[in-house]
Amino acid sequence: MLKTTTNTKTRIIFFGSGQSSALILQDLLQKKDITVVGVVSQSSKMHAHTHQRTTPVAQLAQAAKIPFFTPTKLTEITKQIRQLQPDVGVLFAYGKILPLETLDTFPHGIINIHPSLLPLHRGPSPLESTILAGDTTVGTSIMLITPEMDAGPILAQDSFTVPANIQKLELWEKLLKASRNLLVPTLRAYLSHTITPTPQDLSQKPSYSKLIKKQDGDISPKTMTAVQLERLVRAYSGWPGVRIPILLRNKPQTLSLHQVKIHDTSTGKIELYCQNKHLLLQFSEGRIEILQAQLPGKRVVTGRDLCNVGEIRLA
Amino acid sequence: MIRKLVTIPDQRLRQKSLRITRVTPKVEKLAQDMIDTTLDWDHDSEYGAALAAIQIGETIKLTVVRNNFEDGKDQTFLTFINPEIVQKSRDFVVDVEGCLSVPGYYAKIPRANKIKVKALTLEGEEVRLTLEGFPARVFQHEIDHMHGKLFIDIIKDASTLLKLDDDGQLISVDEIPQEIIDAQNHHQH
Repeated sequence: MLKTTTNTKTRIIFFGSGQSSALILQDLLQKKDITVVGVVSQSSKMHAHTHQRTTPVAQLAQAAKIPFFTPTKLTEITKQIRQLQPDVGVLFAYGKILPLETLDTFPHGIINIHPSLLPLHRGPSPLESTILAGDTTVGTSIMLITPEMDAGPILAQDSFTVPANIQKLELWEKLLKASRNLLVPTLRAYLSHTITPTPQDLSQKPSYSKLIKKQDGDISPKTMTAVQLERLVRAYSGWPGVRIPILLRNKPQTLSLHQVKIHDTSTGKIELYCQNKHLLLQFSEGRIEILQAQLPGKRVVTGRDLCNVGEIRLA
Repeated sequence: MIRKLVTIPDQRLRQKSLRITRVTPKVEKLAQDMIDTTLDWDHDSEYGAALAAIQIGETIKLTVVRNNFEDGKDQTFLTFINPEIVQKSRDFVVDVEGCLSVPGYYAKIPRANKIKVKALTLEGEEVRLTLEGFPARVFQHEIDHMHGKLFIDIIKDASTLLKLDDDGQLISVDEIPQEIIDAQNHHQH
């Protein structure tokens, strides 16, 4: 005799905003044992810097004809959430702290995907934090949300090693893929009580990532080492970018660094100069070569191109 | 070993199964094959709750029944030999059931809500079970197989028949499909 599982579909409310969240939502929509009964996304006002009126997640929810909400305060929609009778919530890069009232609306809580090996790199910028720490063993965690940020018990983790010079985008792709592979099996195992939430391993001290601001990308080589700058360029690539103040033919300019590499570990006076058409930046500790950079309003050019423009030094 | 499932309109499904007189290693092997075949069949939206030996072409009174009907991920089974209903309640319940031998269709079938079943275990021990609700339904369905009956036999109008769509959802049908009528008709003699 056969039994269908159609009447026992897991009812999920999804929280997310950006393009990656939309991919996770898409995965959930394709599963036959899951029904997404509602979607909560950041209000479009919050997402103003992408110049979109609705988030990718809200667009997908609209297309799939799923009720969606973009509340400024989650407590505004507690009643609506309750009416949708969710079993569990799934959250990915939603961008807001959840009030306890919302957490209590879900019989099985809310599951969060956090792309780091918790308790490492809790907080809003785990990817950047992973690169800045120089981690080569990276991973993603699926956890239950508790009122304290990213401190909830772990349902599953997947870890793997990456090259030391991995770029942010590439790291993101790998972590997103791992997260997508892990989410649905973990969700099923959790709801069928095959796995139980395990408290985070606090034998290693939790680390915290910060909310990155645009001005964090404006740096002075005087305050850091070559290794730190090389990591910063990879961590901040895309947004917010890394900029240093320079003098180009004695004119103050801001140079955006797109690609750099560690040249050597020499020590010396902090300076920027060309050597055999290589643009080098000497730190008190270590030296880097600037491979790709950009002047305001100009194309991305090589260090060699910049050396050809004229005399270049730190401002 | 995974075996091929016998499905409608195969006439073997209409045969009556024989009592097992002795639990031989062959019977044990067969029970394992039935479990393997059922698990192999499991997929996203449906899973096998039980299987009768006739469904892999063996005309003996042997059935494997899932331990946990609520959780398709639980892959443990119990085996029953020569099961027979010794008592049936008068109250009937209508619920949706399907059959691995009738792929793609489900139907709302009335069954006795409570039954008492007598059977042997693989160890040859006699057991008596009091079953209610869905488990009672499962045993009635399997014991029907041993008498050459299928759940579709009692369907008379399309409103009780359901079809599984591509999304794994049960949807109603406008009329009883010919393949179901054909499978029913062969039994009318």
